[in-house]
Amino acid sequence: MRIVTRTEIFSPLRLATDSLIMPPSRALPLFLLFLTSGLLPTLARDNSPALAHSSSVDFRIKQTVEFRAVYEGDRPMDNAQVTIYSPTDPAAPWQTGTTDEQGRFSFSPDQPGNWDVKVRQAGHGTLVTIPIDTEGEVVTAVAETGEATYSPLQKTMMAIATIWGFIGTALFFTRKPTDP
Amino acid sequence: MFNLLKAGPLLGLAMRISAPVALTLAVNGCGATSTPPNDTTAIDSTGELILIANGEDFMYDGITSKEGWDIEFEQVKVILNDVTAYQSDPPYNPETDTTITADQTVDLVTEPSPVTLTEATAEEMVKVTQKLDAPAGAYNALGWKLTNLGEQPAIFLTGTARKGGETVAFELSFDHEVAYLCGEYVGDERKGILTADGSAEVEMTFHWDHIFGRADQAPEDEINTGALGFDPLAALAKEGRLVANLADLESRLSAADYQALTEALNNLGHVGEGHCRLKV
Repeated sequence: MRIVTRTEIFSPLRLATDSLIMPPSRALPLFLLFLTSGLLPTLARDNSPALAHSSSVDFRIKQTVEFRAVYEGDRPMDNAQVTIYSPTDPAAPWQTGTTDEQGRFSFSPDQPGNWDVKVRQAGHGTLVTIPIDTEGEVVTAVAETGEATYSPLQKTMMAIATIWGFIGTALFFTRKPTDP
Repeated sequence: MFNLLKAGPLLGLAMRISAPVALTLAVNGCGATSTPPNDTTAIDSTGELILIANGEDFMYDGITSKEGWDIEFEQVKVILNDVTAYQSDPPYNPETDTTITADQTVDLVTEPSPVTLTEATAEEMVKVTQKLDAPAGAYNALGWKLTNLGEQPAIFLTGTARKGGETVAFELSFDHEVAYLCGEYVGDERKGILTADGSAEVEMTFHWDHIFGRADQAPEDEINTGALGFDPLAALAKEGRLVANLADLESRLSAADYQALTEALNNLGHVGEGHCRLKV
């Protein structure tokens, strides 16, 4: 049997990103709303009672690891017993549950380190280690999928290039018009 | 920041294109990927590491073969050698890895050592040996051999099988030498996690149902489809008695049955429900 893992980024921020893809004419007022919303609680304490019911949205990115347990021949281990062990206490179960009808189970690691996943069913069992790095990602690609991952340097360069492109675009459109 | 607000509608377009990409990268992580923190205990601390040999409850409860033979074991003896516990890093996966890479190793058995698995009871498994000053840490891999010792075979079983009105007393000698490399123990609790001044077990488990199958499992279950069962052995008995070694069985069993037997012997070694790989 084997366990196939993949990291799914189930993040409120991701959902919020999708909602930001809107006509440009609406982007600016929304940006202003996000910018000013954080100021409203402060204003409410000092000024008009009309601002007392201001709101803010706190969010955090929560990574989820989903895996699928299968027997040889890709038959799913459905309703199999799952036990998750955290890096800081490998002897005590951190989370327990059962796989679904497709042999899938997901959990959200709350710290980096080696997370151990035990799956058992009808006298069969397996235990695998899923290393999570400080960025919340699985360190090594799953051998079965053979997926390639970007190196840290590649990720850094991609990030720098994208951010610079964003800044450059903004600076271009904010340049002062030259005299004819 | 406020200059950007004056850029107009085209800035919104730039945000539409760039923001998801930038945010996705931020979520995925930018910069160097850090190595997960090492959570093993201090190298200088030690504890007691105990080696358990487990023939499962078949040793005292018996087993009903896939064809319905009720088998009771009188004696089940194996000869162990070269038993080593590993703190493997990365964790050893017997499904894919051929060798164990370990930070710490403990040699628990270094010479041929007979172990009688039928000495176990429901309350206590067979304790083979212990190492009093084993380095603390997580022993997540185990290697061992089954070996012959002079005239003594690596695996020796005696007992009685009953089905209907028929009874067969058997004595089976398997001079089948194998070496196993096994991953982490899989069971109700984790084993092998040794803290300073503490005690931990590592367990080798023998799955005799791989030889005889199990009547309490479906006939199409892999445990039964791959097992020899007892019918082929019962067919060789004379006057209710069967005494045979591996060479006898190779000549008297069908090729398919003998192959099923040898494959079951190869798959005998486990760590709880965890798997092992034959070391070539």
